[in-house]
Amino acid sequence: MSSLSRVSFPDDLALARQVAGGDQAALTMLYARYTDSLFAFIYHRLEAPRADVEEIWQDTWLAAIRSIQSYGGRSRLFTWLCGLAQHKIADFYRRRDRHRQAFSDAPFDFAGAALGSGPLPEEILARRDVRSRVVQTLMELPDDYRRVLAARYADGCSVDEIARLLDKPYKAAESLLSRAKKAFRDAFCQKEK
Amino acid sequence: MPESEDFLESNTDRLIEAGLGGEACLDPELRESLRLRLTDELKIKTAQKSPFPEKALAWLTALGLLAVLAVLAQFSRLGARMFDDAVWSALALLLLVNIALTPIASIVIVARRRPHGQEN
Repeated sequence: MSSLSRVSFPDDLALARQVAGGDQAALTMLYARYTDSLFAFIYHRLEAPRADVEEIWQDTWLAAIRSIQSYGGRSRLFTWLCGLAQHKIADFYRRRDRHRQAFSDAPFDFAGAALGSGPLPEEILARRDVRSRVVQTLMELPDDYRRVLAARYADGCSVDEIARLLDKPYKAAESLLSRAKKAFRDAFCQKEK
Repeated sequence: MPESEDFLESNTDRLIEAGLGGEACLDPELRESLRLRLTDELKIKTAQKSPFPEKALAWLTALGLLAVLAVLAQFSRLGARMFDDAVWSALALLLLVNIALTPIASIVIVARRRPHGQEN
């Protein structure tokens, strides 16, 4: 009973258990849902050639499949995948005998606080840790918010196009986009606390 | 709209755009090849899983031990030395059979795994 009450993300846990049980369709769904974002997360986190990023991305997925039964549903599945990726990145830096981590989390604290106080400096936007945190935050949003933000910012769709894509009236699409942006902002700032 | 809200909106836009930047895109061929590799990996992992109900076996063993201990305690309480000797002989025989069966069980386990191609 106590272990059940600690499960915060039952849908993610159900998907992970299906994969752990050998369900190929569940694996395809898991992979389709998270692979691009996981790659983006590692890409932004790692200061290394693309080949190394690809290797760590592959190693992370292999580790995930081998240990999927250890996922307990206490965090989002994507957060768990990011945790595995962090370990792989740390191993990578250790192998290269670089005695520093990818970056320190400490200087990142001001990004969220500065959101409303003036134009965000380019050097903050260029930071790999900020970008990877954006990817992680996006993946932790509900599906409809994530989809609408990806359509707007990754695919460059107008609100009109998003409305057609979602088969919703213009006003509804605009409102959904606005709510998604607010949810993103709240989650992003929350992460820094 | 106050100026701070303008900044909030435009900064949020720029932040999301930065995170979803196109340079972090994955090569479709690489994506597909890893998907196939993971599918194989999952097949191997699933095949490696022991069909043996390990938890059930542990519980059964524990219950069996408790039952034996309870019987022994009962005999001791009654002071029946004759039964004591018989029980100890039976236990010693069981232990010997168990030890003798260990290598045979190992061979059976290895032989059962081989057809699935699990050994590297």
